[in-house]
Amino acid sequence: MSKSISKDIIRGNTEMIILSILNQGDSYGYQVSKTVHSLSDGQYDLNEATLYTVFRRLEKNQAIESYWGDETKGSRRKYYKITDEGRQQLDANLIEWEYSKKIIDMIIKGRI
Amino acid sequence: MNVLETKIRTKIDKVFIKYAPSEELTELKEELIADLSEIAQDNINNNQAEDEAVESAFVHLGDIDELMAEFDEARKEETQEESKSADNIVKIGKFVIDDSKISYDNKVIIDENRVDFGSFLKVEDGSVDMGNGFFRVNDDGVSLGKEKIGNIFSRLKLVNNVQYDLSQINEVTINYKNDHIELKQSPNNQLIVKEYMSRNNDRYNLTSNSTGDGQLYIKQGDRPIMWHIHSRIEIFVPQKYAGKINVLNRNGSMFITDLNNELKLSVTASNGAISVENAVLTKLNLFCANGAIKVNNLTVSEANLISNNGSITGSNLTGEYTIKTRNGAIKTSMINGSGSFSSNNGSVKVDFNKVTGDINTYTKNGSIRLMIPEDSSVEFSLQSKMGIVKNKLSGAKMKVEAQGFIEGICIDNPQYKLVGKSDHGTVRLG
Repeated sequence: MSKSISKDIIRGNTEMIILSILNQGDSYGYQVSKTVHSLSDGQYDLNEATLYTVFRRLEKNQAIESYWGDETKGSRRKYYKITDEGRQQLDANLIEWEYSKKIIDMIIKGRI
Repeated sequence: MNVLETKIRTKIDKVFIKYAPSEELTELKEELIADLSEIAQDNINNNQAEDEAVESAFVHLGDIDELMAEFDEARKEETQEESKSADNIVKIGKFVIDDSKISYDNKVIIDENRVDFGSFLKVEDGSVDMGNGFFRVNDDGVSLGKEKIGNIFSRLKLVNNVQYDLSQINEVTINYKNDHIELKQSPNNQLIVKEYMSRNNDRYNLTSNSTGDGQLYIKQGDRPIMWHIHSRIEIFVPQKYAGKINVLNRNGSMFITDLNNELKLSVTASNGAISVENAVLTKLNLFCANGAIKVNNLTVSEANLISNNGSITGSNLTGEYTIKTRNGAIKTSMINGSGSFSSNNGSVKVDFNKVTGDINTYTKNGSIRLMIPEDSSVEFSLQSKMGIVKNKLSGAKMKVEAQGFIEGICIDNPQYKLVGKSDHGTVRLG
């Protein structure tokens, strides 16, 4: 059976994934997708629709802000940056993620 | 725009064709076009043909319907009972309340100069429009139905000139129905009423009677029902009279100018604007059901300026004022005095040159902007249930600073209290 990432697991965590990437530097849309692709060693691709859906949600909750960049060539890019609230959300998400991983491991590795 | 971008732009337009245009959608499309252009260019750099590069870029687009549902979600959330407060704007469903206006469904309904409830009722500056233009009041007079309002004053002749001795009188009540009325200073010590009309008939003239207990009643004459006559009235008030004068006008504007009297004046207009210019009075009550109130250069001991639907604007005011409107904005400046300023739906702006008493401001839906000199003897309390509260007065000592609630003092041991309270709107001092 080939290994592929469960879409469900990723969906639940896309906000955390995007916040974690923006926390390392401001990015425009496709740049975030490229980062996800390379960090996952090609195992995961975030499509545009999912990406912008999550951007909207994060912006609505003021976890990220956007600004238009100054490109010297081509069309202007909209950049996203993480806010202080976003960093707080990221910290909370990371703690939850570690905790969930531990509990699930306990359940599936444990013997009745 | 190069060929590649054109292809991508066109394909994006096709994908989004079924969605209603909006600024947010336009920005989103720009981002997608930029992203997909980069993907396509990467594909071309990997030796794909242009058309193929574009096709495989679009594979990365994903499910647009879900993305657009997120846009709709945002719109749906805003029409629920929730409200958002961002900077100086408060939103409740389709109402948007900002510093100077209230909009409903993207249409301005109340701002500093008007109240606009569509064809049902519009009040703007000096004019009132009701029932889809059927009933109209403005500076030139009143019109019903299709009768045109032009500049009618030149056509009006002086038809009646009556003088009254007020030495035994302590209250005068003047009652008109549909007239343009001007109130001014009398050249002598008598009360003078001059009537100007487009038709001359004794029946149309005013009638009056005085009862023994110091009351004088002046009433509009018998005006014709079948056709409308244009009329205007001038009332001249004697300077030495220190009693009461009540003027009631059902439909029509009223202008009060250049009075310097010790009198207590009450003016009530049902539909029509009231304007006061240069007056010094003991007490002034202005009430207007539908119409704006405008006051410039007024000195009183006490004044009540009240409008149901219509804005209230004042500048250079001295004394203690109670200014209230139900629907309409209040904008007052150069105040030397104190008082209470409140609006149900509409913004309240008060600007004091000098504070001589307590100040109370309230609005339900609308923002409050207060300005007082920094060294005023004032302790202030600013609150808003759903908006931002700000103090920009430098030198103030803050006592409490919480979300939606600020308290502080301008100087030590302040004599007066200033309250700024809004239910749905921002409150700003300074």
